[in-house]
Amino acid sequence: MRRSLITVGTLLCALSCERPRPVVRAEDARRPSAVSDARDGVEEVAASFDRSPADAAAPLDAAAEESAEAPEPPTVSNDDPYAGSCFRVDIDDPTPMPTITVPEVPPELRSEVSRLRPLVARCMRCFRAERVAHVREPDCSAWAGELMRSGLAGMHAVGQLAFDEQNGRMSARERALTQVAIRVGGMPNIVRGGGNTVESAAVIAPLLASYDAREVLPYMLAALNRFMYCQPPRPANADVLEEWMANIAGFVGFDPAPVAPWQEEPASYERRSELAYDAFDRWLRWHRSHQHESLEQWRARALEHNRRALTSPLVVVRVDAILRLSGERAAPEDREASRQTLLRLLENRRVPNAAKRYLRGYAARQGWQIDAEASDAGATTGGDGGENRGT
Amino acid sequence: MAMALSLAWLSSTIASVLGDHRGPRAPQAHRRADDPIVAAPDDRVRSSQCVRCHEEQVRQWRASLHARSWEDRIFLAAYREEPMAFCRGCHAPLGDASREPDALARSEGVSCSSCHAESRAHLASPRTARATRDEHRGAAASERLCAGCHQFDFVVDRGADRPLWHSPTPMQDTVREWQRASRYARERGGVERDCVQCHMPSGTHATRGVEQREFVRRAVAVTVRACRSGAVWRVRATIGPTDAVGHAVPTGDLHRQLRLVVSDGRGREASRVFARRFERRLEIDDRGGAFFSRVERFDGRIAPPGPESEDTVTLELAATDARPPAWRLEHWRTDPEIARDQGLSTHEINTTLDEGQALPCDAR
Repeated sequence: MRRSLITVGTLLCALSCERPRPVVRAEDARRPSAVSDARDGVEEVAASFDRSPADAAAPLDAAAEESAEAPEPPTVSNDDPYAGSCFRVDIDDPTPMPTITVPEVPPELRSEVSRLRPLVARCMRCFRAERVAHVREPDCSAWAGELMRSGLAGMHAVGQLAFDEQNGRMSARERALTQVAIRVGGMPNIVRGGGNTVESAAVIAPLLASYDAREVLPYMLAALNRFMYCQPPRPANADVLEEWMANIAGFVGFDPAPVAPWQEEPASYERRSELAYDAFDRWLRWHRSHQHESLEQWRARALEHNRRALTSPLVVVRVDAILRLSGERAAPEDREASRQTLLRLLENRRVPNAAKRYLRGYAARQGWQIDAEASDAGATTGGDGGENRGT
Repeated sequence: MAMALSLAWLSSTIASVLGDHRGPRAPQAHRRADDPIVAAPDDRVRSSQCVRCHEEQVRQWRASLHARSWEDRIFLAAYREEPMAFCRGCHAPLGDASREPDALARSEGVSCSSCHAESRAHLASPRTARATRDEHRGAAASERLCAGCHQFDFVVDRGADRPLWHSPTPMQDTVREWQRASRYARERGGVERDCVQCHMPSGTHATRGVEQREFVRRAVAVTVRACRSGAVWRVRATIGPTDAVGHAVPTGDLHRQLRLVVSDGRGREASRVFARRFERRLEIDDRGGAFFSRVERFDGRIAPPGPESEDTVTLELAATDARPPAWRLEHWRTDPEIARDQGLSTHEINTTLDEGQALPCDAR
């Protein structure tokens, strides 16, 4: 099942992207090192739940089923000069990935989008610090609020700037404007050298996610596509990729390839990166299949997926479903089912301690009463949380 | 009228001490409006005054991180990026938190009066008013005092006319971690220890903490075994807190982390980081504004002693050598990537706590 990946667009990337680098090199994917294949983890978990790896990797929803579809010719957007330059091909499985293009700004919104662009640029500078909560510019909050209320035009303005930043395509005027905002506007001068794009991308994701899910998903996917295939890999990237993916899962309502919180740090950067690519591929395919459905249909799919996921053999899939079915707006029966699933996980000796600590914290925040003695009985001697994405 | 004036004076005095940026600030929390230290800032008690009678304690304190709370390079690197009143309240408590600390506040750091402000009469008239032993063993030794600077939330400053917004996630959670560990110790009939018993044993003022390798090393128990599986070493480490610690490891600043690194001696390494992980959340405020807060996604540090505090970690390494891989446990006082951007060198922030050769998995 191991997939060795190369970016055949490397040469083209070198011509078109600001700092082109292949993301996962074929030799990296093959070398026996700290990098474990994503599927290895599935096998570990499958073993721990007395199921075969094949069972554990069985698709949970249409998103996974999509991967078995017949090959399609790659499509390239004419609107985006970079769209065809940074894609990858799996040399073992030449099924081309669906591509995603940058949404077009409707003509009637163009002037409003242009008006909002400087606001987006200033906003990005507001929240760029490592400790994003600390901003000294009092207008930052109002700017972000205005953007969020500006509907489709705001979404396009944020989305467009996301692309500009990632490609180094900000206009000289916009660059100057943001620098002035930093120096004169009293904003904290906290922009970090190499991490600028990474940090602003991390801020753009939740902003984008605040808009209408159906409208914004193509932006998020197109931006991710650019971000993943035209950026040099560096450790922070894995964080950002995961944050973007989490935002997508948040507004779509389910995650086709969840990573549990306790698994993120254990995974090496290379592994996390590879998992992020796997998840991204799933979103691309999911979007291709369901892009013409209504938001209500998406929500119904998400609910159905999550309810089934509560009985998944994979701990990580079950936990993800618990989190999504126990929110404030969840139906009482879903919350109760989530609570029961959580209790069963706490009592399971094979669930790693890190997972149990996380679940206890979650239960406490939900106000769920956990019988300490019963769950203490389930304490293990460790467990490395080797289970992986819910493939 | 007199009452109103008194209240106004009290309110302005408290405001001047606390500022509008109420962050973590235990020392100030213990001061009262009638405290001469507060009422007359120029009469701030200096360690040079205390040394006349408490030479040994002051000498010990000078060697502590408390004395360098402002001058610590790792703190200063972070402060340069975010020069907030929030930071000044704890790192330069003798200063006015609403402005940059003056030379005295910078050089004193967390000094005598920061913790002994309960002994108000003594601080005001050290020659005549004695500080009772109860005062020392009371407020100055309680976790409540430590909590002021070692237990606090992320805050968002939304302008001078508005109170700070507090995140549901603590930025530092040390005292609550200690409370959990203490509860566990109680349940097992074990010994409960307070902050002072571990960090100021026998009353020393040379507080033990993050900068002392041996002190931190004793907090963590690691066992590392390696099994060869074909061309790969599968390294399995069991790691957890020892009875010597009463909170998570590392604790305190959110960027601190432990790293377990295994290496084959030829430059190949695999590692696992033990740190807190956060995510950004977009919050909407009551005026239609939006801002980002941080919420904890997962606490991946070594948990405080408890029923589920031990973790098992599996790492893989190419088997380039017949010998099992070497391992080391590193303590990073901040995230290495942040440190690099801030111009801090690795040796300033990284200490190897422990190291060894992995045991063969079949070894007894």
